[in-house]
Amino acid sequence: MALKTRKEYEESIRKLKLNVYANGEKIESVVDHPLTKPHVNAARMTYELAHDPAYEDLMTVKSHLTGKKINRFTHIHQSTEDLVKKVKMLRMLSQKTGTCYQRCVGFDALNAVYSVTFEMDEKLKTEYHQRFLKYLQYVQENDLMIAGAMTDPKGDRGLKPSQQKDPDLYVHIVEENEKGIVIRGAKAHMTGMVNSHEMLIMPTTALGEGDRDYAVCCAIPTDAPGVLHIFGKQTNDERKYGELDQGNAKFGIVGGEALTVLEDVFVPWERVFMCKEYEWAGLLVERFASYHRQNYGGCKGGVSDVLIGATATMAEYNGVARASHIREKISEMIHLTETLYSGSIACSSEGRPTRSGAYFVDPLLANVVKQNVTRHIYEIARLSHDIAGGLIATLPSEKDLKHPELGKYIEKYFKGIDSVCTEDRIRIARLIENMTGGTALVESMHGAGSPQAQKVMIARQANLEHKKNLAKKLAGIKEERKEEK
Amino acid sequence: MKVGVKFCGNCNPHIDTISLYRELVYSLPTEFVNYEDEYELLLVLSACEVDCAARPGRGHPELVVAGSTINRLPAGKKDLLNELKEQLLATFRRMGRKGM
Ligand SMILES: Cc1cc2nc3c(=O)[nH]c(=O)nc-3n(C[C@H](O)[C@H](O)[C@H](O)COP(=O)(O)OP(=O)(O)OC[C@H]3O[C@@H](n4cnc5c(N)ncnc54)[C@H](O)[C@@H]3O)c2cc1C
Repeated sequence: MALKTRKEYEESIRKLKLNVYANGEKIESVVDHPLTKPHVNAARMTYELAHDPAYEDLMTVKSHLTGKKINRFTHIHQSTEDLVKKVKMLRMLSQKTGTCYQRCVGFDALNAVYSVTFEMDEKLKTEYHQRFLKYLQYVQENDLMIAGAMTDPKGDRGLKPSQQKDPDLYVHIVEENEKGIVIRGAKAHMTGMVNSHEMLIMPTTALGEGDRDYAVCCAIPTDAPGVLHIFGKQTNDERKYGELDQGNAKFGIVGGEALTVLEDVFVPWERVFMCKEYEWAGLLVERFASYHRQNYGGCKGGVSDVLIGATATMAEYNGVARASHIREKISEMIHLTETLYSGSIACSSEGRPTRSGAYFVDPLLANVVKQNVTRHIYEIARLSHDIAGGLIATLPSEKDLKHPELGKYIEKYFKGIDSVCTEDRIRIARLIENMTGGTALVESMHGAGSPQAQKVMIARQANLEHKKNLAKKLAGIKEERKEEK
Repeated sequence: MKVGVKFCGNCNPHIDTISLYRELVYSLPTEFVNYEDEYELLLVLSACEVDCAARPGRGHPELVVAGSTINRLPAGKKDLLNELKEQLLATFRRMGRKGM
């Protein structure tokens, strides 16, 4: 079963014995619960479209391990074409869902762990990569959804993991025996975790010798004993119990994040891919972060395509579509969107093979993409708010619209142009509200790392000495003269 | 004559290749098959001019729709279907096939 259908995906998630809580209650089935269902629907699209001839060129690829057709989300990039197609796939999926379909994080984790374990084995004579190959084949053959679990809760950001008062604020190894290891801690903001089959755990940050117990990379099932998920509360998520007020009722807002607690979870050796090799944590973080930052011009490009469409439609419904400032603002939204997309395409086209043969993006350009996302998405949302008008913040509820006495006033006073019914105008307004408010925007700021994390990487990769030399040469400055002084 | 069909992944659809394909199947007696099956001519349906659809690489002759172009020549959007049918017939003839 190299390619699961959407039904098979749903059934496979139903079979898991997940320990998920939200609003103080246990969720019995994430596939059916109103809070989690939209996120399952979004993830389901990654399975559904793999079977559709109109999308499979992006959604599927041949496994370099088995030669079988697999879902691209389980693939290890073998060329720059693979890297480019990843970006295009993300853009297309975002256009279909208007939100996050969660599977890229695990995809990036698989690719990062693949090349890093290869290099570890070469240098350290370990067997991590061989273990990982077996795991990867299992993932590909069962078309598994993997949550990429990097971010630790981190406590005092000014202290290293081993310096924290509470040692569990970063995931760490608490026991090592002949069968495997036992880990404890938590992973925060886990996208798609509650509807994934497995999680791939990685360290959050570069580590020093004192932090060796925190240097752990391993895979565990999302329903392993000792694993508990506390589902995040999103902006307006009580609306998930209705339809129209949600704006994007089918697919929800971002990825349905959770806090995943790991209370002494046992991991057998065949699923351990780093155990205390603290010198390698930084490299793994950088590889993962660069792959993940590559994505954002694709996924946010696609989400912005939907938002631009919604905003242009709203302008039509309001009767202002021909106004020159509106057209100019829509062009600006398009320009910003394509700027994001260009960066993702560029860092993919400039990709290069790693020692393992897997392709890696250009890290400087990938960091530039994500840095742009932390700004441009806010500007795109701002322009959308400007054009849409205040009703996106003040609309009455679906219940009032359907109310036998109140409904007629809403129909009458929220009407735009004559040819469009009020409910459609409200629907577009709600979609804009959904895509540009609270939870949706923060993902662009902190997902794949806060802006400063990219700035550090950009500064490190920028080859500043070369730039200074260029300037000095043109200005006629001779290095020797400085020494003469 | 069997024609294998390969779609691009539709991330930037300037034309609706799915409808185009349906109309083509409806209006020609030709046998269209999946690109993974056996065929003699490959029809690539790319929704924009970038035409990034991966080719199966089996060396068959190709007819490529990419956005509103056919084999890199502009085809009027309205006439895309008719022009495609004509080009298919011409390709069949070049390949020594009379019928469809
Ligand atoms: C919607 C969403 C989905 C996510 N999905 C995933 C996921 O699937 N998997 C995953 O692993 N992670 C995920 N993340 C986590 C994301 O990578 C983190 O949010 C991000 O790395 C920032 O970490 P933080 O939230 O703890 O913020 P903080 O690290 O607390 O950052 C807050 C501010 O403090 C600054 N700061 C932090 N530490 C320092 C320091 N030592 N010195 C100076 N300044 C500092 C930062 O630059 C920033 O300005 C997700 C986040 C969001 C919002």
